[in-house]
Amino acid sequence: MSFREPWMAAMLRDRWLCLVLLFASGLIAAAQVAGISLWRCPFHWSTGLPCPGCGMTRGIVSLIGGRWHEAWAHHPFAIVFLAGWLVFFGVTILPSRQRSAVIERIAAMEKATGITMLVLILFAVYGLTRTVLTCFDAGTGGENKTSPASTINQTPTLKP
Amino acid sequence: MTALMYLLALGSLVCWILVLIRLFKAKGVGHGILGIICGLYPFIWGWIKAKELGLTKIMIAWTACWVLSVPVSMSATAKMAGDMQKIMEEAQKQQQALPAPQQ
Repeated sequence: MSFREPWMAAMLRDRWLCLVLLFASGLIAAAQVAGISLWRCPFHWSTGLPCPGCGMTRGIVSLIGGRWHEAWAHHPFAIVFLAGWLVFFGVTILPSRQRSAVIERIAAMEKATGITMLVLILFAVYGLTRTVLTCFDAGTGGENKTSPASTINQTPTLKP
Repeated sequence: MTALMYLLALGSLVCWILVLIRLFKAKGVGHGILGIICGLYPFIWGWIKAKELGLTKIMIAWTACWVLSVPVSMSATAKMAGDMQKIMEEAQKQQQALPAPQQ
């Protein structure tokens, strides 16, 4: 594994993949605004625990709506992800020649600084820590107790 | 209904892990980590590379789990709403049966 691996540039070179990803993520975000959750995260769905990216769509939607505190509460990396999405969008719609030039610049920057890999690792560390803490909190009967699989098995009860 | 939901969730998790393994092998650590963070990425990448890497069956299974979860989830929510309404009605009946407070 190379810390300065230009993974983002490699991904940007695949225009078809970028187009589908941008369209799908845009659609999911738009549906979230309408109150419909289109995507089911396999990890959260099966374990009830938050995956490293859980809360990202809500965070980005809050960010677009100008609700900074809410966005931060949903996911602190929402702003980073939104910036990445805008870079992807900008590069994907560029004409081929300019696009190649921008991708080469991004690759050079990634090789020189390793910034994208660093952000990715920080993101993963934050996400995994949150998952472990939530798991621990659920085990000790804390406030953020999660239920496995989904909330459908939660039978509503009335407290006296 | 809950058992079916668990089954679909488990199927989805297994497919995600299988695609993630292929993603790590084919594209390296950076893309693999991105696949863990954003479950949508391996889903789309899996479909794009399905024929090339022989992932078609896994991707069909994952998509089927995801698509089937929508009606199952909706019916489960409807059932929960029905249960809630029953409980509310019972609570109202109990409240009406109680003697009025004396002043």
